[in-house]
Amino acid sequence: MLRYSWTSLCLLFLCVSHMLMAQDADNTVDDDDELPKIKPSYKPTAARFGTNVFRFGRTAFDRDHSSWDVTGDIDFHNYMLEVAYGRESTNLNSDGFDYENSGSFFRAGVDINFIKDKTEGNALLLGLKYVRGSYNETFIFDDADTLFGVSDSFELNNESLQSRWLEANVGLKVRMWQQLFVGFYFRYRFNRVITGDREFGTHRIPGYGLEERRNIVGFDYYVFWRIPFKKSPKITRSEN
Amino acid sequence: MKILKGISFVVALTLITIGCNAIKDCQLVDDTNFIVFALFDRDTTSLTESADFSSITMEDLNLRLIGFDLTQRVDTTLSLFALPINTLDTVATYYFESNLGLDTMEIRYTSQYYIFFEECDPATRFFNLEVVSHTFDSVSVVNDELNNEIIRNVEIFLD
Repeated sequence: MLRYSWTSLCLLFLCVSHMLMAQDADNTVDDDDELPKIKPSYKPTAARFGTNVFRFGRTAFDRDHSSWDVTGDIDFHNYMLEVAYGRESTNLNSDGFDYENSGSFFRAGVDINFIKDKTEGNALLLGLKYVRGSYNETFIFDDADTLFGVSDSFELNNESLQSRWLEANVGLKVRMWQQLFVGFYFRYRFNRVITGDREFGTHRIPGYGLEERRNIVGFDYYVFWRIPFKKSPKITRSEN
Repeated sequence: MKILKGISFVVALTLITIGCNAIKDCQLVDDTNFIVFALFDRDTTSLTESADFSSITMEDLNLRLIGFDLTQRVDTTLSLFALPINTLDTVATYYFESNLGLDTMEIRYTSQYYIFFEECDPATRFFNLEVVSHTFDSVSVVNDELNNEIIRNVEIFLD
């Protein structure tokens, strides 16, 4: 079922992107029929590396939680390939229980850039990503049944759980200064699957959030540094 | 490009300012440790007017369950009633005593601990309810999960 959903979404994504690109090309020809058709170059022009500042912020201010992720993208004409890797850990100590979680996730997918002018490197993005993760959880607590007059202490472990899901995202990456960019992504996470033996109900999924939410909208804010593969030619205006 | 920069900052500031505060009420948990039984007349297949149980007891529990105010859902006609399970065990054996004799029912279940909210104590969900053995004429599990929203779990058909 998941495989079919994934395939359908990929096809839909490709169809939409193709339609949008085709429309873009048609408009260019209509504007000036005499211009020769230029075949788009899919040669990458730059790579961009960044990190999620929201995660660093949370790590700094939330003592129960620490996380980071790094991301990179590379452009192929109007398409951008994005990959990311991140780690998360949670350590909750309350009166009722102790809970520990640690794991990692890897994200890969394609965005379409809807900004025509590529010289600045700005990007308005629509994309689809696939995310995989693995994590461990420990849950320590005491429980009692007062009616039956019994009690016990528990240390339960969820070891080597595997998670995967899809993300449909919209995002923006804007040049702030020289090759420094900031940007954000709204990510709609869906089609989540968790596999592995569980001694208790899984609680937090690294890279995803709380397990109780079947679908979730996430927000990430990034700082990037762009590395152009060749120096952009200086554009000079000719005075007539 | 100034517009794009502006959008980028406004979105970040808005999301930092707006906190997402979920309702964190530990009482909202729907799980229960009571099995709801319904007694049916086998001929009419409707709820019995009354059952002649003089007592219902459990193994490992020196307590008469009839007359004990288990939940508000206990029907006065005793055609619908809830019986507890031992939350630290996976099997419950009930003894139903009537003027016709003694009937027994052994029920197995699975329990799973989970965190409902991080501010609450650990919660437990009970599911995979299964009647392992019984001495009634007919018994059926209609809902295998223990939940406050569920009207009945086990139906017992009496002659």
